[in-house]
Amino acid sequence: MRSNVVGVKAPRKKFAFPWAHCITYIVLIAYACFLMFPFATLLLTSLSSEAFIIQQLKFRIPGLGDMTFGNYVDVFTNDFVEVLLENGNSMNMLLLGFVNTIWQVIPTTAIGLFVAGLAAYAYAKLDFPFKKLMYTLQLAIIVLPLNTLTIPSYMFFNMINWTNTALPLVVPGVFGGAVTVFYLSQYMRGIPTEVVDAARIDGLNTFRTYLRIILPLAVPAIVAQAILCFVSGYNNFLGALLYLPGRSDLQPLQLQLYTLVGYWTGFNDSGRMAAATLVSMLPLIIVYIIFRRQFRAGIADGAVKS
Amino acid sequence: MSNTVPHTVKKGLFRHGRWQGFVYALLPLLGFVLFSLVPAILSLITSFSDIVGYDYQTMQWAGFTHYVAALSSKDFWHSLGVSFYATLSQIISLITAIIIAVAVNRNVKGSRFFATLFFIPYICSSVAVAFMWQKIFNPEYGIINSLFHLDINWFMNTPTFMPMLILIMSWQQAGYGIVILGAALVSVDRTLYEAARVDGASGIRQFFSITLPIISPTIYFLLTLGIVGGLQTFDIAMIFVGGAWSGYGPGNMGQTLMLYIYDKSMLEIPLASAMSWLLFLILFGIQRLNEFVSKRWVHAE
Repeated sequence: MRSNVVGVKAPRKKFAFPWAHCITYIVLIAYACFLMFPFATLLLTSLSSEAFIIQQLKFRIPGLGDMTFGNYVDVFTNDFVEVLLENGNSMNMLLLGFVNTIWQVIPTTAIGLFVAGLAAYAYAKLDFPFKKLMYTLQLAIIVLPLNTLTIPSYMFFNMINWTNTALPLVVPGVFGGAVTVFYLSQYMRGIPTEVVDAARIDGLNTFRTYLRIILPLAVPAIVAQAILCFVSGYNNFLGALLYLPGRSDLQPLQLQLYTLVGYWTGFNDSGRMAAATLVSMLPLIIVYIIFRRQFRAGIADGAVKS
Repeated sequence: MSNTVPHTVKKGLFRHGRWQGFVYALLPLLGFVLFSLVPAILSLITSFSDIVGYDYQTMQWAGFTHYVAALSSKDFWHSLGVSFYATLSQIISLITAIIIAVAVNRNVKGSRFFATLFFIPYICSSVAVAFMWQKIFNPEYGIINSLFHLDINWFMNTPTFMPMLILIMSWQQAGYGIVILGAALVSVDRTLYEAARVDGASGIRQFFSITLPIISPTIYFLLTLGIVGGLQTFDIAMIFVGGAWSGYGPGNMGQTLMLYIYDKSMLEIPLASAMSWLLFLILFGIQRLNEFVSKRWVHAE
């Protein structure tokens, strides 16, 4: 079908100025500028020296002579933005934020995906009692707007003494999200049953079949979902705000950034604040650019199928 | 459990993977029950109770008092109104996403690059995005005022406050729609356009009679998702206005329902729970209504 289309299109190239192409480019470039404009101003502000900012009193593009990486150094070394840890040492807020985000988000994402994948495998390839009922329940969970109950859930976590610990941010995710289970089971349905049967004949039990056969085959889907889980964990603000308000030593990146910028609201602090904001965004943007294809595939498939 | 495989037995309790399958599938459901259902039920009970602080031992049945209090308070309706206003950002980003997705889908040179670029704001945290735009809208030294020679105090001016937040949220969210609509557009059968071209239909005509009907289920899906997300606007409002201790912005225009619930949860958890459940019902209702409407209106294949 594709070659057919190309065949029809080819003679069109000979005549007519490509107006449509021009308009397309104008739209794309204009929108790209609109999207990049805040990043550009942030970058320029972060590179402006304090002297330049005070002297200008308005946003100005700094000349090369006024540019400095001092703000970036300051963000990581300023004594003013250090957090006292439990062991008596202190640590830079932004660094601590990265450390906390990493240990709170990555294990949760990894274990959560492993568990969700296991459930997805059961729904896709195994037969067991109450399967239909459980799958219906699993689907029903997705439909419920449960996020609205995030705030009053505080009651529960307070009751089991989990407030002011990272547990409410870490433990629930370990059990695997409903959307992830659904998405992965859809994907695993596409894996031929013969593969599973062959594994069984080779003497692999169900768990080993999952580890050795299903997981490797489902890597694209798992990576896509892992990225989504990681992004939402990395950007989670409300959760930390609810459960860790008094524990600055446990607060993840977003909350550290929030506090840090709260210190630097002054005009003369613009450069430092911009540098901190940019540094907080950069790791995720880099991860995204590396995995861009899996990112978009995961999002698009997840949405189209649900 | 032995590894021996019953080659011929297809039915029965010990069929390959019977109990394991049950255990595997149970884990996510168990997580849901422990960390979503139980907290939800507890918050439901709380919403019908009086309580001292967060101490569940002091709970006393209060009937519908908190629901009545919420529904008869001006603040609740105002916050709900603000949240609906904020939802406008979702509609704007949806329209933007349709235009941009169609442009990207024309597969001009570099369209992959643009597709990558357009998604970046969506992965940025609302905290960082809010700070970024605060610099831009800053009344004294922000670039907007100096670029357009304006003298608007964006953070204190009631009529422009929400439009500012809407602009920021649309900027951030359109990328999601672009990706999903992009996936829907790829699946459109190209021969339809060829046929339309032969019939002499213009590009705009093709868009409205071919593209739009085919991607309408996706648009509807995004619209529902957008309304649900928009009504739960929290992060950006929180950062721009600060919440209870520093007010809710000019004319309380930053008082979204989630922010108001968050503030109330500090001192009046039963009222906060009642309002959360009201929001839950509103969102659930909107979803069901949309499902009903989409069955009648939206083009189905």
